[in-house]
Amino acid sequence: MSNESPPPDGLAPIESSAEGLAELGKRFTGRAGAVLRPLRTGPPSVSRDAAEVYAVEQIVLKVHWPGTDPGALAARMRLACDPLLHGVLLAPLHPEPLPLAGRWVTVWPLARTLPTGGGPLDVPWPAAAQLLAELHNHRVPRPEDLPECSQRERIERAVTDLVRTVRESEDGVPTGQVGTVLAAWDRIRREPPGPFRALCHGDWHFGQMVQHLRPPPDPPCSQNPQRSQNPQGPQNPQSWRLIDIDDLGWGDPTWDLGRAAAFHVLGVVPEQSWHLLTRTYREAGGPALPDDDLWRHLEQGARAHVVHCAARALTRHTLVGSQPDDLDRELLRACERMLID
Amino acid sequence: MQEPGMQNLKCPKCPGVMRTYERSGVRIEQCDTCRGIFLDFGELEALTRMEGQFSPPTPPPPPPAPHAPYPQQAPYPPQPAPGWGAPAHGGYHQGHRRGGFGRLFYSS
Repeated sequence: MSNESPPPDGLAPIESSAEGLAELGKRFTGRAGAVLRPLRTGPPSVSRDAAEVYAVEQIVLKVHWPGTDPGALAARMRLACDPLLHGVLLAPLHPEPLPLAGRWVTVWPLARTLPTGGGPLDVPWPAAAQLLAELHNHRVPRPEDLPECSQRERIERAVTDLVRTVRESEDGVPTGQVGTVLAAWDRIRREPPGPFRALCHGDWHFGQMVQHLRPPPDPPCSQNPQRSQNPQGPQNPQSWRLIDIDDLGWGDPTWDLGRAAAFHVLGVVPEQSWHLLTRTYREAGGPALPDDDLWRHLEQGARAHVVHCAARALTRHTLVGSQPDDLDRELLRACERMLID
Repeated sequence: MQEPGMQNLKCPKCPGVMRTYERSGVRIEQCDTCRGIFLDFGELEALTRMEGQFSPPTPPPPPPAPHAPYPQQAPYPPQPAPGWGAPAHGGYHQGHRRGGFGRLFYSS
């Protein structure tokens, strides 16, 4: 959450109450008048319901997307406060979501994200694998009390956004192949879910991995934070934590690996990185890969992520009138090939 | 948000019942059993017209080429990658797609 590119005009407006955010900033930093800085990683979101994230000095205020289910968010915050998960999830600075101008806000320590300009050899694949394996292996006493991991809902939203964007397009010229993306998703949604159930992140990627800027404070919900004294450094797998709990819940752990699997299949993630990820995950006892038949387990989640990325890419190009790049076209071709039996 | 007129419409593929939902302004008819989606009149044609305006025609799909995404020293036997993968790359050989790796840093 430490990347600080300002949002471009018109695409990521500050919709939340600036006064209310400033008040929250004062409450948690103890200082009035601190500057509120929008944080963003990656290009502007084309989701119509995106969250907004701001930094005030060393804290982060996340304004969750307007459709957030407050009960599910509160349950997810309880998970983030679980001492047994403090080695996996970044712990919040306040245990509960706070209401603000019709939205829900959560409060986090500012943390260091990976630089986005790097390549596949610059990112901590073993740490990613260990975090996901540990999350997936978390023994949940009462899974029935957990929210469902909103893996499928995220893709549903992306597809719904795409359809609506195309319908509203003034030119009547969508960026093409919308039907292919819809059909590819429809095929996945008709398939039975995989056999594994676990606590899942729901939106894992390298932008969701952070390191503390300094030894973490004891969170208000913490008794014995584990690993908190571990040395920092990208080579220490134990120094990383996962952020973004919006989709966290009980779900299919193979889908947490689906994004990396999809980009491996499309030629973006090199073989040695893929091997490192899957080998480390298996060695850490990750339940999504119980045997050698990796693609039998990962194929559905990989397809789902291709569909998701294709839907968002088409939406973006329709909205801003841009042209698809090589990878966008490959995502769409992959959707076409999925429809061939 | 169920539309009164849709209450008794049966799913054409299973014994389920079609229900109308409005999500973010989009009306969707969906079977409550198999989750299949029904497109209204003209929507499929509209989508079809949109085809081809975006990218050049794609070559016919290659057969699902046997492909080993793992190096020989891998402790696991080589696995055939899914047939919908990128044929030119076959999972990854030399170098990687320029710029593509950034997609693993944000939520699409």
